[in-house]
Amino acid sequence: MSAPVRGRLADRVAFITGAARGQGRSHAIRLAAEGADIIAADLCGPVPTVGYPLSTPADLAETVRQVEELDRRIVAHQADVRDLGSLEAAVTDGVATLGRLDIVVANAGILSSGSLADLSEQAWRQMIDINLNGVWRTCRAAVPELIAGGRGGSVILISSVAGLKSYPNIAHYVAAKHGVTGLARALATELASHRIRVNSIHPTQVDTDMIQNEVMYRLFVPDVEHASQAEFAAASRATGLLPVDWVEAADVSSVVAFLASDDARYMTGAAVPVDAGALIH
Amino acid sequence: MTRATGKVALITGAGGEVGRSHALRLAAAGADIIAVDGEGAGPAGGRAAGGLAGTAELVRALGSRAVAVPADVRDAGQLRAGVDRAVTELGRLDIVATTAAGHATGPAHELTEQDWTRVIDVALTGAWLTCKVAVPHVIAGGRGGSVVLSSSAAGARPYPDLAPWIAAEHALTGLARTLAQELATDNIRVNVLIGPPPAAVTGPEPLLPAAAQPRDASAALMFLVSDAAGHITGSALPVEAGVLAQ
Repeated sequence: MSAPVRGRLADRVAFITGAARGQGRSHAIRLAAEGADIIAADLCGPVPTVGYPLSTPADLAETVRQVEELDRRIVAHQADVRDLGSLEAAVTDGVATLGRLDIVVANAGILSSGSLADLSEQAWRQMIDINLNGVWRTCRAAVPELIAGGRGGSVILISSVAGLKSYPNIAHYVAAKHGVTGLARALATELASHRIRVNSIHPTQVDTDMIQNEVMYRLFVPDVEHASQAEFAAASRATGLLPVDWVEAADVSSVVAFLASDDARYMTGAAVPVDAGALIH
Repeated sequence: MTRATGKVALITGAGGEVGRSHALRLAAAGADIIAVDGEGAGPAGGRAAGGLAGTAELVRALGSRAVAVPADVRDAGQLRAGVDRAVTELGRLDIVATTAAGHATGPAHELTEQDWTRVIDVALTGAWLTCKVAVPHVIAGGRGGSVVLSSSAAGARPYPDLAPWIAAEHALTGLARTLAQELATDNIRVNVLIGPPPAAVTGPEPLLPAAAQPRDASAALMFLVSDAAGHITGSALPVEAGVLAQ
């Protein structure tokens, strides 16, 4: 057996939604590398109105494999942020197995697009239900465990640059992410007396399956019928100041790990951009 | 004083105090009114005496036309049928003002799912559905127009025990800014009107000696829909006696 890990997050347990791939998997691996055990939840299935493939059970199994490779424990559940009961089951099982809960990362989210005229009511409702209500349900399921633990905690809501500024043709996404910004601030006021900190992170385009697809290419390069990745990259780069096409999931995970740790012990209610300068562009 | 003669304004939450205040102020300036309200959606600022029908009667007493649309802003079919009929009757649509809101209080981690989703549905999805149903009529007129989404100080700063309200109102700001981008080419301006915080909250007191009233929100609405605000879009105008200035 390897020597015990004494990272910044040693002995902590983190609950992460959308953990099968992309940013969520990256957060799981980063937090595990710093010593945390992981409760991983992901839908691992399709959502109507989403025009790109979502995660699979095999993706979630790969997250499990990579966390275990770091000698950390992980409890993985197929759970849907539209279904509070499934999140509660994941948290209950995870805490029973891993003994405690310290960190919550509400990361699960989808993307679709359409102008006011084009966007269907179903697409709007699905977006609000997953990207906003799903974040609340994640907190609803996990925060009572943080409070019961009596050791404080860190809740990290993954919003977006679109939680602080707007982009056309994704009104539902912008509204949901602005809502997440508000939710983080509201929770910060409510949970401070429990020494539970609540912050939001606002990434620009992150190089994951959620942006590397036709829906996103069309959104960023509307005048070209089948935009190439290179054309998307140029349009994506133009949204920021730093000379990068997008940021990597690991860049967001660095900030997640920081906010989760005691290094950020007096940060609460903050909206932290990881945006290559997009917010001031 | 702003004149709105010949214009038509749609107001949701029109049976409530803020919605009625908007309707009467617009009617006094010469606008005809489409007054929308539903049983399920509690209007911002409390319900006014006589509700929706009462608002329509008061508008008519000012010499303007009024069409009352009893519709729940969460029900797209009901809303579209009522709004389409009202626009046909009054001939055009220029101004859209949402005031429908929902309420639920309690710590976010103790609220029921029903409480959370009801507030989000009425205050956020209802505002979007209102825009989705109403804005095509404004575009069709080809004369531009003005959309004003009602929010409150809770849309710009947090208060404890109001999480769904705060989330919905932050989201409204995002919605308004996105629609401002999408509708600018049709010369339709979209702004947020930030009213006072909900009653009985823990937070900063207004700087000014008197808290803002519905009439103050309506005065700001008249500015936002007027030509004086013809180059203002995507903004969030605070009319809350200085709560947010602290």
